Amino acid sequence: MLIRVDADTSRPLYDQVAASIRIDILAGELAPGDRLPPAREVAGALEINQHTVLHAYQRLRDEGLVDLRRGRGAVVAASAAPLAELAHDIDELVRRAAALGVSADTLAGIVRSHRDARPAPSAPVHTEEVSP
Amino acid sequence: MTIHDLTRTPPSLLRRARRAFLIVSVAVPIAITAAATAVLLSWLPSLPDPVVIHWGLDGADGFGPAMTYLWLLLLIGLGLPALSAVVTLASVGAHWGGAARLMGALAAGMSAFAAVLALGSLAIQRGLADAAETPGVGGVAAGSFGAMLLVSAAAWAVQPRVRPEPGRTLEPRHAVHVADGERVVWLGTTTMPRPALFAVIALFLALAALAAFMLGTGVEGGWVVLLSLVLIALGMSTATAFRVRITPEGFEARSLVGWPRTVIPIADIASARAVDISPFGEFGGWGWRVAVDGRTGIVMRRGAAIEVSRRGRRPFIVTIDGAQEAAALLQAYAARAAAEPNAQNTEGTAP
Repeated sequence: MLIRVDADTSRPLYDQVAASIRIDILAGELAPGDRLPPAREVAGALEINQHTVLHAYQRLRDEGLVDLRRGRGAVVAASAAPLAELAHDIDELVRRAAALGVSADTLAGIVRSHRDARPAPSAPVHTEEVSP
Repeated sequence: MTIHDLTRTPPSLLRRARRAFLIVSVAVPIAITAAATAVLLSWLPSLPDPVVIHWGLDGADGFGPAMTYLWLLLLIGLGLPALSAVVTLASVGAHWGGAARLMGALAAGMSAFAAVLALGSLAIQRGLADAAETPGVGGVAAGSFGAMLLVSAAAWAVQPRVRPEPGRTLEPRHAVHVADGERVVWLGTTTMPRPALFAVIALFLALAALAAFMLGTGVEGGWVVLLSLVLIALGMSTATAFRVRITPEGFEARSLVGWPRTVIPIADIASARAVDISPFGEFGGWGWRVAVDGRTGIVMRRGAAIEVSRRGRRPFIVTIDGAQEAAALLQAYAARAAAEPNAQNTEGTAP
């Protein structure tokens, strides 16, 4: 399990840890039922606070990607399986967006507002045909 | 594995090695035990009843029916060799090696040991009216160990030598990139596969039963088995799972209880790669191993492993899921350390 953090960016450390684990799930490196290493281990290796790692784990639990159980630690949840299936589509979408000059951040913003359930979508991204 | 498995033993050699193994670990014990059983049964009328089944420091002090020796013969002479043959064949698969040869040789030796011990103990009691007149058993014990060594050596010699194929390199699926100011770590746990764990537990229980039997009937050497039992239990608790971590500082592997532990600083790492290895062929089994070619490693299963090449020392190996990614990261750090030994935050990429 690969975890990367950059202390120089403004992005919170817990968010970076959570993002790394999300990428591992997306890449299939972590599958449902796999146990995440104890927060103490991760914190020690990254030289960050243990609570930061726990914060990341809680964030992933709130997203339904991880089960947190007393005594068993953090385990990748069964509901994380569909994420790996989306990996290819996400790759494709990000690449196409980049080709069109749309940054991943902008794309994330669009996805987030898309989730806010506006009945009439303003961006016709899904219907557009783009040949690479 | 599939037909693409490059590390498997060539089929003709494998067939030859397997045949020789089966002869020494199954056919020889059956022949020895059958012959010894026939002799034992023919001796029954000439034996005192009961016979001595235990000798203390002051001579004979334990008595029982002569059939006790038949059970000893069947259990140690036939049961244990058969069990070890099955476990060995199951674990070796298509990757033959010196360890399998040794197991076969020991199986044959074990059978000879049981036959000489049982028949020897009875031979010195033949024709006696009262078993209490039986002389000491030291010569018989020495003779049975001698027979074990002799037969093991012969069984080792008749088996062909199979040199394991070295593991092939696994190409990393993607290079791991470490940017300025970024701290990238890799964490993983490697656990003994369940079938192997069950096999170890089965062997452990068989040894426990043997120890109970030997202590119960008072056969010499029962305490040796008991001692090995304790050692095996200790070994199992420290060898079933290991945590591996790769940081900019280097490589670390340790068991869940914290010991044993290996730390390789990044400055000592020449390079890292992912390899495909076979436990029995190259390392002679599972756990913390030293291979015939001097590589050390934590070997839990067949397949992908991180191989860390150390400066001035033999490589260290650990089998683990995600070895490609882990090796790519470690290689990136090793390359960075080699390129700029004094710089802290330089850029490095895997090949």
